[in-house]
Formats: sequence, structure tokens, C-alpha cells
Amino acid sequence: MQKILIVDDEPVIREILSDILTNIGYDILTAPGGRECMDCLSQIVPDLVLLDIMMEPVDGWQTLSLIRNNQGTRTLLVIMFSGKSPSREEIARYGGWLSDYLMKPLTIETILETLDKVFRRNLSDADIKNHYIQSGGDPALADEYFCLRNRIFLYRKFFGDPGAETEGISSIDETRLKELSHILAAE
Amino acid sequence: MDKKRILIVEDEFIIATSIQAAVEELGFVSVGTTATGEGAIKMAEEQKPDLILMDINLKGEITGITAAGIIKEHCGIPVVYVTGQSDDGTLAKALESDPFGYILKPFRPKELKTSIAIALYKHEMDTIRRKNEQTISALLNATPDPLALIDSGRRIVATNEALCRLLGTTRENLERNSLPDMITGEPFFISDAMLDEIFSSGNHSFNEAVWDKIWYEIVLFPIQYSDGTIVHAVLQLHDITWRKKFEEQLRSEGIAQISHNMEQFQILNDQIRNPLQVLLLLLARGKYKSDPRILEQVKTIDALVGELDKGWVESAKVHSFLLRHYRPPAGDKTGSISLKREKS
Repeated sequence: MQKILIVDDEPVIREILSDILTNIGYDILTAPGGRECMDCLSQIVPDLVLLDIMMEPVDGWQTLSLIRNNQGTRTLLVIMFSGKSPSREEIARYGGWLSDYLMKPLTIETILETLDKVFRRNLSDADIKNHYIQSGGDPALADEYFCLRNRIFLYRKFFGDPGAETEGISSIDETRLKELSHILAAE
Repeated sequence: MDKKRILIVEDEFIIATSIQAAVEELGFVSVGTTATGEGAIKMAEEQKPDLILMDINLKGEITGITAAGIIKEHCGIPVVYVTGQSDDGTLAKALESDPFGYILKPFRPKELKTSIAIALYKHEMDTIRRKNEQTISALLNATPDPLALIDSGRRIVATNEALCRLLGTTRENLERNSLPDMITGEPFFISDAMLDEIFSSGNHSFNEAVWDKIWYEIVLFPIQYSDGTIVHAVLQLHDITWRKKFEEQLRSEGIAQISHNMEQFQILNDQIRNPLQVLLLLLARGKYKSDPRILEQVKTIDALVGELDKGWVESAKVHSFLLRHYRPPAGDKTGSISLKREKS
């Protein structure tokens, strides 16, 4: 049973969403803000965090940074879930760390599809990573490789282009980039 | 027109009387006669005649030439010499005193009339020219902006105190001389090509320069005379520091305002979308689950909020554009000025 932590300052969203997801079969934790999220993560590490952005005093982006800079939660799956559309700068800066970015409001069907897809992709990502390293890819670049994939995915989703701002592109070689575009096309 | 008043300086009484008679015959008024240079100076100051007919050899200590010099300096009254001496030495001395005429005795009334008329006319022209110069000088000094009137030969014809202060020099050093290095080179850079363009096209030119923390708008505008020729141009260094700072402040305040608007947009959109999300979640759980009309309504509102998002994205573009182009240089410590008007 997959464990999901819902972080949202809107109590009604926390309540109903956890209700529905629990009924479907997910194990749900909730937190009303960034601080509570980190408190929760220090005790239980879930499989995925659904993270709101506009929260006080610690917002979603700050929380995301805290999650990524913490050894125990570094590889945790994170989906942003916000009423605010992302800017190009935000995707450039944080996009690599995200499995997806969901814009409110969404039907429960879309939310469930996304969760499904992210969990499935996570499994295949592990396979791809193994394959990548076994086929002689630089292990140090494996994370960067997936970060790049995430960023390009979000640029395409919100701006319809792969994003010229995508950093770190120089350290991934041409062959890997081609592979990446195949993977993205398949998704 | 008032009759012109004439003083006669002549040491020979009979000649003095006859000149007086001739003068009055010609339609002028005689204010009197005197036989000495000292008397001439005294009467010139008291009577303020329009013109003096002056003999050169006089009774008393001083000559007519000396007296004429003193009168010119103190009273500015034109002097015409009337003398029997025609030797070169006397003539040369007389000319040195810049006389308005020179008549040799004996003369005919017609000669006298012509000489007086020419002298009066010349004096009038001198007066007008002097007044014009004073007017130009007053005009040039009426503005705090450094100004210069320049000719097509790149010489300064006239200038004002402000320019002298700016260049750290005197009017005597500037006027009738070529444009100084500070004008043709750093910081104002008025090139020969620019001046050629002004004098040939008749167009104004505007440039900007900063010197000693003051921003100047460098304005060159040619003066076109009625016959179409352009002989002079005015150079104005207009202080635009206040305007520059004002613009800078507008830019930075504009950026701040856009940032503020962007934040408002984000908060507002998030706040509108949260209840929409709640509605959709309630819908998923409730008895209206199959009713597509509610979903339609939510989509409509979301689409409207999406329009605001677009506005926000546009603002983000404007914001980064402004930051790229108008952020003041890092070393700029000129500070900002208050835009608030003081209450009166």
C-alpha cells in the first residue's frame, strides 16, 4: 500500500482528498504546512508528497528544497499541487525535482491517473537507471539525467517547448539526450 | 522729434559764436560754448548734450583730444573735432580717441550738417548695438543653464556666467575663441561633424552627457536668419539630473508595482482555485457525481482564472525585461529623490 503525504493549508482539501484516497486504498498522511510536513517526514517517509505551494510561513518551494536537502528524503517522489501556474524560472529551478506539477482544480479521476502514472514511472525509472549505469553511463550523472527529464517534461506540459533554460544539459551527452527524448515520447 | 542739443568747445570767441549760429541755423539747439577742455567736461556732465563739436587746441591745461577721451569715458557723448590743424600728427592722435567726425576749418554749413548727422547716426547705431549686446548678455544669463552662441567657424560669439563656471574659466577666455576641449571632447563631445550637420541642415540636435554627477541634455539649435542663412547656433547644456532621477525612480517603482501585481495575481488565483478544487472533490464524493453541468461551471471559472494567469505570465515577461534594461548600475550611489510634493 502506497503512502501519500498531502500538504495543503486548506483543511477541506486535506479532509476530502484524504477521505477519497483512503477509500481507494492509499495510506494517507496530511500536514497543513511546510513545517508540519518536515516534522512528519522526520518520523515517517511516505512514497510520495502532494505539495501545495502558496502556504505560510514556509511555502511549497521552500519545503521542496528542505526535502531534497535532507538525506532521508532526497529521492522522495514529489508532485506540486497548486492553484498557481508555474513560471519558467520556477521550472528551471525546481522542475528537476518534481514528478509532476498539477494545477488545481482537477477532477479526482485526473489526480488518480497522475498518481498511477508517477508510481509506475518510478518503477521504470529504477530500471532505466540500472540499464543506464550497466550500459556504461556515468553514475554521477544518473540523477542529473532524471532531473533533466523532469524539467523537459514540465516545460512541455506548461509552455509547449523543451525549455532553453534547462540547466546542466551540457554534461549529458548527445546519445543520452536522444534516449531521453524516446522515453519522453513514449510517456 | 526733439531737436538735438549741441555743445561747442572753441577757444576763439568769434569762431565759437559763428559755429553756434551755424548750428542753430541748421536746426539744432546749442547748449552753450566753452573755451577750455575742463569747461567742456563740466558742461558735458551737467548739460548732457547729444553731441560735442570740439576744437583741439584750447585754453586751459588740457587739449580737446584729452577732454574728448574723458567725456567719452564718463558720459558716452559723441565728439566731432572741429579744428584748423590738419597735420598728420594731430590727426593720428585725434583718430586714436575714436572720434565720431573730423571737420577742418574753415567749413561750409553743409559740411557741418553732414558731419553732425553722420556722427549722431553712428552714435545711435553704437547705442543700439551696445543695447543688443547687453540684451543678449542678459538673456544668456537669465537661465541657470550654461549657454553659448557659436558661429559656423566653431568660435564662441557670446556666452554666459553658467558656462564660465562649468568650464572654470572667464568670458574673456571664451568669447571670440574656438570651442574649448571640454566642449569638443570629454565630457560633451560636440564634434565637427555634428556642427557641420547643424549649420547645413538647420536641424536641432539633442544628446546627453553626465559630468560631475550632473546630467546634461546637450541641445544645439541653429539660428536661421530671414534670408535663409545659418551663421549662429545656440549651445545649451540643460541640467536634466532631476528628470533622470525621476525616470529612474519611475522605472524602479514600476518594477516594484509589477512585482506587487504578480504576487497579487498568484495569491488571488490560488485562492480562487482552492474552492474550485474543493467543489470537484465534493462532487467526486457526493450524489451529483454524474452531473456534468457542475463540472462545466467549475471549468468556466477555471478558464477565467486562466486568463489572469496569462496576464501574470505577461507581467513576468515585462518584469524581467525591465530588470534587464533598467536596473541601475551596481556602483550608482546617487540615491533617489522624493516624488512626494511638499504640502504648502
